[in-house]
Amino acid sequence: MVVDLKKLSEALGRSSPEEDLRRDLQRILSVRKPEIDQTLASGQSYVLRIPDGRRIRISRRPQPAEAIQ
Amino acid sequence: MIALVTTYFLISYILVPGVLFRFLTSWFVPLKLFERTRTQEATFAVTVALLPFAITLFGVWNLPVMRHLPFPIAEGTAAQRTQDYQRVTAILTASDASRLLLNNPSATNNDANWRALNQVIRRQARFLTWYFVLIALEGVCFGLLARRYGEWQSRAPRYRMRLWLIRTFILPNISEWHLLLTSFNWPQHEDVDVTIDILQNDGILYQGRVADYFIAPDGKLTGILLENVSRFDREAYHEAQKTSVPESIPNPKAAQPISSAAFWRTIPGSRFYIGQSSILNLNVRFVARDQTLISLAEKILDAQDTNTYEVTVESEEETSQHPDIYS
Repeated sequence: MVVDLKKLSEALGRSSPEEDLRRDLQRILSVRKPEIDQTLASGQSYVLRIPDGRRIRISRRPQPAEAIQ
Repeated sequence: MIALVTTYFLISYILVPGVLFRFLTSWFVPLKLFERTRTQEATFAVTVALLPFAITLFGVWNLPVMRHLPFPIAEGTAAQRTQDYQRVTAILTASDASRLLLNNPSATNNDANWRALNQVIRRQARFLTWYFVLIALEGVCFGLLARRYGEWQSRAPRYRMRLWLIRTFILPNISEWHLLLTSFNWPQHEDVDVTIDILQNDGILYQGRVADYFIAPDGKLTGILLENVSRFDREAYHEAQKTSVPESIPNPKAAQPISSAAFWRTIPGSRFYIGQSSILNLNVRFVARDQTLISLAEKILDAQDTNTYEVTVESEEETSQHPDIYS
């Protein structure tokens, strides 16, 4: 494989892993939001697989003690 | 004798520097491993050796330490030096060198010839010592510069000169697979991982994090080692797609879409090797670290900033609770 590494590096450098992840998450979470909220409302947590293969567990954040009182 | 001298110069001044440079640079970044022609190999070695050669030449003539150490000799005048080389050239090109070196009645200037030979050998040894040291230093600098590339690339306007240097002299000599299958292009502190989707010739799609890759002597990829691997269950996915659209529904597009995420099967084991011969195509993805994933997901979910959602990344053990059974 003969590749112009300078061009390849510049092309890779134009993308940002963080920006790509933000786009993927925005797309997936906006579609799944009602489903996630419904699951959390029933007291369960929601496991979501993101395109790079990692799985995230979404749950309700525990409320601070003062808020419960 | 001339052939021997030519071989000595070729090995000491071109081949050894090339090998030394490659060896030391490879500690930091893998260089291209193309099977080059002899001309290409020689061009590479000469280019690599040019600067250290010039510095060594200047040093052994002008700088006090390099001029005398190692292998010190009583340096004479320039004329004596020239005479030494002339004597050695005469010995090496003579049809019968023994006549100039051995002690026999017909021999002339034997002692002077031995002295000249000794001086020249010591000068050569001193020159080569410094030459190899500078080649080694160049190799280490080359590797260290290449390692900082991702750092500097992320702040391109600030490091324009260094980037130009690396892109012109270093980047063309680095293996393209290193650029594609490692986080070489990104700063180390960003902790970027490389995940890859591999479609095999038999239609099976694998996904995993790149743990390592292997290259043949001709620079071609021979295989990729993956960790945290999943296999896409295409048959089950198609089946689910079919069953989700009952025949009673006139417009199939109106049916609820099936998410492909549920059809990835975790493969047990910590390392999974895929050979190059079975790879049809690759989809390389550079992914941000877990902490970035968590903060982004929480931010997107919590658009009103109510601090309601908590996101955690599942560990590999948790995700492999239901391993694929290679059905």
